[in-house]
Amino acid sequence: MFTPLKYSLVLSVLTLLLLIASPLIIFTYEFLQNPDCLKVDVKSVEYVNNETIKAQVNVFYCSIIPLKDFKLVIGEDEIIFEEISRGNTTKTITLKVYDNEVKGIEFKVAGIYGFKLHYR
Amino acid sequence: MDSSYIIGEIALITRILKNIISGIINGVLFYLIFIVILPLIVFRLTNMSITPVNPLVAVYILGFFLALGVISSSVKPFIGIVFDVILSLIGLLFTLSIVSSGEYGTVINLYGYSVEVVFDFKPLLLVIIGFGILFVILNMFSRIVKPED
Repeated sequence: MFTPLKYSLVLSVLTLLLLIASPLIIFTYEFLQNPDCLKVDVKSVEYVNNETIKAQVNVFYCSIIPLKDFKLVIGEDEIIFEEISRGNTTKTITLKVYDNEVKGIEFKVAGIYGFKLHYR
Repeated sequence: MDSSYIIGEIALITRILKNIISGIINGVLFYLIFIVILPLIVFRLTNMSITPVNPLVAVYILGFFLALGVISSSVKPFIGIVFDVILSLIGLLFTLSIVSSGEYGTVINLYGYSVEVVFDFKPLLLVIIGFGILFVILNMFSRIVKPED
């Protein structure tokens, strides 16, 4: 009585797993093909005053899988990009002059898998 | 001593032995599914290395599964269902603790810097655990329906 239901459940598990796992598989594959797939560039543009500078953050990304909730930790500031898709994404921000090192990156692959990278 | 009494005793012992053996098989099956196969699937899909389980802890877990399996097959079917469900849910709990609740962290060396990487795969884990619970419920129903057929 329950056998057809079990088979259909197994089929739906496999389909759902394939759908959920495919962004991660494509992302990993593209990253292994091109290790420079994600590049973050911070360039200072002009001095605002003695303590702060205006800077341009450029994120280059090569994969077709979008990155959601992209967060860049520079010094004590957090710069948030809602979505990073293939190509270049730029944003102009203000930073402190003496504390402008990139300390961490956080993002979600296709909005599902969270990645956090923090320099120690 | 009456010969029919001896035959009855032998039949009883055979039944008990059969129940114990089926319980052991059940326990080993549950152990393999929840402690070996499910974590392996998760680790394979997420490309991570498996954190080894302490052998003593593994033996404890196996013993626990065997005991519950034997109880489940020895008691009446309707009471056995309860132990089966407990076995499955505790199995899922062990799976969750092995895959560390969907987060995996490590420290790697990147361009001369030491970088702490945390990978969160909770959605994938939730799908697997959710369907696991669905299968537990389905098995329970199929055991309830069988005696009535």
